Amino acid sequence: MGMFDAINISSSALSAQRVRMDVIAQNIANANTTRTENGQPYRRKVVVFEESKQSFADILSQKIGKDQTSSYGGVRVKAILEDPSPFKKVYDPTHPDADQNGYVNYPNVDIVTEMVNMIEASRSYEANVTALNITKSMITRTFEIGK
Amino acid sequence: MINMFDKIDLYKKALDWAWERNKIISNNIANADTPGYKAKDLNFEAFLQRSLDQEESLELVTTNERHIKESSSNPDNSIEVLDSSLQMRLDQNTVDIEQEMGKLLQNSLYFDGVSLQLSREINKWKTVIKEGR
Repeated sequence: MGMFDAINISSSALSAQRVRMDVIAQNIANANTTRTENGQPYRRKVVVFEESKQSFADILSQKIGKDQTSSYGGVRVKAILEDPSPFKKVYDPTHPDADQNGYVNYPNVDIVTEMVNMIEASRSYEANVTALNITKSMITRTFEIGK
Repeated sequence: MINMFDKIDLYKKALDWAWERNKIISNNIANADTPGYKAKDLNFEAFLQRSLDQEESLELVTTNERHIKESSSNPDNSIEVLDSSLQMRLDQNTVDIEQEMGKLLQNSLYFDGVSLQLSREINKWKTVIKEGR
């Protein structure tokens, strides 16, 4: 029963939400990028979360009966994947990246979706900060036992 | 004679439970956006039973090999329980963030209350040791 386990869980979530925020910012920043390194327009990126597996030491101490309850590792970013949805076609023959029919492929980034995801990420971040503060108050409370 | 530390031990177990539960709820909140994650909670009775078992074994005494032994693995007696009261989202995640925040607050108040009781218990003994001075 580690003293800072709960803090580690909450901070893993904070950094995961931070990565998500970074990726959303990247998507918004590149909403009009028609040319990336591979010559294609920018593809929207999506962060995939997974529950963090507990460490080998935790599982061992659980199996030999030292620890009664299982431990938790919080959350981690499993992968940053590209959204496979099609690019937006916009008719603009004057654009340097236009094809022979005058259509330009714009990134599959929808600003409104990104804004909604951004609010969601920041709310999740806040919830985890609250959890962190509650853990902190519980720890300081234990220091005051017997005073 | 009464054991001086009986009550203190009891409060300790209650604090252990709340501490463990805080971890589980934090984990639920951390995984609020994880696809397929299922919200968990602690089973109080099982937790208390198991921490009591650590000290005194409550196994059935058998005097004959044909006596039925108490089954050691009761599936209903697991410490961790899946929170089944909540509905599942499209990504198969069952975390309800409002519920979890409420539980987190409740649990922290419970922890504060028990630790206050524990402090008072310790102070009572301090008074006794100092002969009321």
